[in-house]
Amino acid sequence: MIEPFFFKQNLLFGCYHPAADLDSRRLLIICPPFFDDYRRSYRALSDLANACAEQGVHVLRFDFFGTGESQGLLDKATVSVWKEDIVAAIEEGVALSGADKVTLLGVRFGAVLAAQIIHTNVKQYIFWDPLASGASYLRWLDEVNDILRHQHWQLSRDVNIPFEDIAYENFRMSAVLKNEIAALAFDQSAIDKVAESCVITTDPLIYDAKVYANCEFPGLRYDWPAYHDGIISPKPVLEAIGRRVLQ
Amino acid sequence: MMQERAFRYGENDRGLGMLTLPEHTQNAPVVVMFNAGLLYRAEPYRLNVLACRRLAEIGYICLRVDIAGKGDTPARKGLTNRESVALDWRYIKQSLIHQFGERNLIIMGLCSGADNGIKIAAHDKDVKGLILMDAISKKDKGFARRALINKISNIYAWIKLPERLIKTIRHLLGNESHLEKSIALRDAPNDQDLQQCFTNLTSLDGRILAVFTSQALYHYNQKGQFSQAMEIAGMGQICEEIFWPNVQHLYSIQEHRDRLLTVLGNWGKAHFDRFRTKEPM
Repeated sequence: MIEPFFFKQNLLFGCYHPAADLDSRRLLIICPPFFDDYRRSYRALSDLANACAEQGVHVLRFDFFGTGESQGLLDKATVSVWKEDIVAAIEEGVALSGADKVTLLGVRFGAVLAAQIIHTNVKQYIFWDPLASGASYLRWLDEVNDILRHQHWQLSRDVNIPFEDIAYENFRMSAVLKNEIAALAFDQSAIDKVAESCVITTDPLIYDAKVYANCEFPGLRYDWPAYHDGIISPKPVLEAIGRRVLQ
Repeated sequence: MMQERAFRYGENDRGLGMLTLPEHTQNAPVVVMFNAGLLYRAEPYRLNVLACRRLAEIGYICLRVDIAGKGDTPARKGLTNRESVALDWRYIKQSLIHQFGERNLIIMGLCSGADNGIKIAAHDKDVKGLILMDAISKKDKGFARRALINKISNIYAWIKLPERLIKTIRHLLGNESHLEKSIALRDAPNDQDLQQCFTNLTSLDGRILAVFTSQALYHYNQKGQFSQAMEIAGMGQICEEIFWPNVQHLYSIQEHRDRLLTVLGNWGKAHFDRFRTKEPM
């Protein structure tokens, strides 16, 4: 059964999925994606956590500060706080479960952040569709804002009302946060020196180009970059991640 | 910092939600926020989380809950959506009563969440308030005329006429648009639900906040239409309507979400004393 709770001085929201085998020494920490990616993948990550827990791995999902059900607003968030959040989640998960072998799963921008963390308990890293860098992520977020602006402009024409002169931002971020995000890069080679790591990609071009050393394409293409209202439940991807976690 | 804790309900406590508590919970009314479509309890774009915290600051106990098959609550088998939601509600109420005693209840929901709120309030007189976002509205007598005038006076509609003709032909050939398909999939309240819900709330002197965005334009195109079309005496006095045709259904723009939170806060403040139970519980 899922156990929701707050940790890190009650700032962070987490959902703990205890393993069916309570003595299991394995723990999966899920660093979720942000914003629209999170909305689209929430149920998939919940299903993944349930499946791994049933197979004998404790799981802790959490929300970064200023996102999801954690406390705070985005304007108070920083990249250093988010990195501290991952470390806090690892330590909380280890304390809750008694596990000592941690797998860190990072999704999209969550993968870029997870790749910054070196922790003695983390023995394996899995990255699901990692973004190439913080800068590329910001460019994409700007594109989302442009798409939304265009959609609202189109809407105003369709319904015959004046176009509102407002900031068409999906989420408002401070300049400081944007600069910090822009400075981040996804570097799998740094991780490979300390632990096993792999990338699960839904982009066959990335797989074919051998961008990452240990990479798997589970056969499903997914259009993360196309902003839309749909949600994702990519069974082949979840199965691939599950296999890696359980191996 | 707001106090929040997990909320469990249903068979073997498998249903999950999050409670946001005000400083004083005595005689505080309870706002229950339902899922919007397939989204989990916090969404869209964290709106339910921030709405819970805003209303809890005013004094409301707020619950954002995943009903069966959404977010972190497993699906039930063998029940229709209507049956499953009714069962969810029974369990949610049981759990709320167990924790807080009898309270006045307000249901908030967007899209299918609003639909569920109406269907429940039609049969439960403990529901004293509704916050409806893009609920189904009946069309009043002037709806078609207003829609026609809007189209005729819209230069862009003329420019897009060929495109619209192609769409109409495709529709006649059976290729419905995505929007029409999604509307058809919606398990909306029927006329009897609507009538019973708003007759109940009017007789109870309850309160309704109904916010409509661009998504509602196929059935709603004028502020005041929602209560007027119901033709229930007195409904106009208990229902505040907001019409934002320039806002997207899921409030994808932060400024639109901020605007909605301000409206929610003001409405919550204005009616807080009415919703509070008279005696501390």
